[in-house]
Amino acid sequence: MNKWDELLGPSSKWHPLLDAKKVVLNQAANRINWAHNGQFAAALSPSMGLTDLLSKLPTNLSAVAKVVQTTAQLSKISSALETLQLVSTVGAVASVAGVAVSVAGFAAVLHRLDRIEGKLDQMLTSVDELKRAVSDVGGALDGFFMARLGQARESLDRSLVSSERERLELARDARRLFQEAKHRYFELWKRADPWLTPQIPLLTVRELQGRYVACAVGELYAEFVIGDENTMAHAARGAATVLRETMSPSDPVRVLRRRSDWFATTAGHMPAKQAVAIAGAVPQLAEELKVASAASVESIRRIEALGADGELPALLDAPGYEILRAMRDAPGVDVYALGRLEEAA
Amino acid sequence: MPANDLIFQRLEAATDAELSLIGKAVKAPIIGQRSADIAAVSRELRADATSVFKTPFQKDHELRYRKILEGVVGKAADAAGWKTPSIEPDAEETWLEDFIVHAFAFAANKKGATAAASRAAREAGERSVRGKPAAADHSNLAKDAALIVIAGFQAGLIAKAAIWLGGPAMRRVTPAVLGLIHIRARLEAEQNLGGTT
Repeated sequence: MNKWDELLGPSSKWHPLLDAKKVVLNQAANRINWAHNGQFAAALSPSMGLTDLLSKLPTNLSAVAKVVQTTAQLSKISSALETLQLVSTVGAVASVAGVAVSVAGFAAVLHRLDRIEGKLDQMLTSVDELKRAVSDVGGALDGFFMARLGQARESLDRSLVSSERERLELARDARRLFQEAKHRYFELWKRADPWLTPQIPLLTVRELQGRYVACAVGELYAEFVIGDENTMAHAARGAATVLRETMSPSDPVRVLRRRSDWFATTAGHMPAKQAVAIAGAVPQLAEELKVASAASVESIRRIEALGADGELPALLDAPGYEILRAMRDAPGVDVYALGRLEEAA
Repeated sequence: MPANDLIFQRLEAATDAELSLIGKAVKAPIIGQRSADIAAVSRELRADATSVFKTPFQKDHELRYRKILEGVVGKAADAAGWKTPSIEPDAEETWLEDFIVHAFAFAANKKGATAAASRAAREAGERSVRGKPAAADHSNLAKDAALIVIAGFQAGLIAKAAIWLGGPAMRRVTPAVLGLIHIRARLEAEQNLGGTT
């Protein structure tokens, strides 16, 4: 246990304060503020164990509520999960299942980077539309592969435990790798126009978007370790803008029509294929698009919140790497509040 | 155009691709003028159906969609290897459509189906033609169909189920009817998305 572990309050400690209205929740930023003066009290953070469980939840909202009620570990902290909006919206669940974003979700993003399944890597070499887009972007194909993200993640992780001099070097290295990968995915996205390219399955589109988000968040964490609050806020604004203006399915009905038309054209005049498209593919499109839209909105919201987290080191009087380390190492399955709640309890 | 005619309503809501596909199925001349194209598709579809179902000659656009569906229900049941279900006089057109989709979707995958799965699919089909599908029917069908989609739709791997549709007119009518049902499915999906239709 180090001195920063004392900053971590499990949900059982801060819930009575919420009930007594001594603290209030700022859901947009996943923070708790003191009720009497509105000042920052703590940042909320799901532990790695919780993130692991959340990432396995189905994206169907009614099924999520049921899983939370029937999973012993989750039912104990279900009110904390609801407070964090982790089970209250399909977007939040999809976002956590894909990429949870905010400094409070640091463990989640490390976890997500570990869990990237490589479906996109596979598609990059097998779907003509993506191969063409990769070729248009130029450069080596391996620049898009998850191995590059693994390298960046490794540098970021090591920066939390290294010496002062090495820490900055590793954090800058991580920032460069994340930035480079982020730009490549963005270029790929612009050329592939994946929402409106039905040959690219929606799951792959979401993974491509998720990788961009993971890179953006990785870059922001690296900035957090480096300690430049303004650069971090600027990078967050840039990533949120790209997500909002380019990578979100801004017109889901248009996306659905384009893909539905493609299913119809592919099925042609073969009744069996037509029936399969009608019974399975088209209704499934709507479900996937709903989740994708909600996850996009949630990711934007969280990236914007993350931009404001650059002030946490000053608020907590702790260096960024120590804050991230405490979050990463938070034990068990719980939601933690990173602050000094005991002082006012 | 007949009042409340579902064929016209669907064609008016069709995307260009949907209209073109249905038009090709019934060999209607598509000239890129929407109202003329819709009228041509309706006329050709009904003409084909009139000849195949041996109904007395009727003027353009007069053959009821329900009559066409009744004929396709029989073909769909054949494709699935089921007996043609009895159709109640008050059965709605959408119930018949549900049966058609159900039967053809089953036909796409019937080779791998167990006897129990086959029976369950047939019973679900019979429930849908009575307008009383169980909640699980739709989700099971969608799940099975989705599995097929995931496994191979995009790679074009769905079994080219040898479905005997009869003569050339029926081979035009059936895909056209499924095209009309596709429009309904897409419109429902759009509503599910919360968009305007």
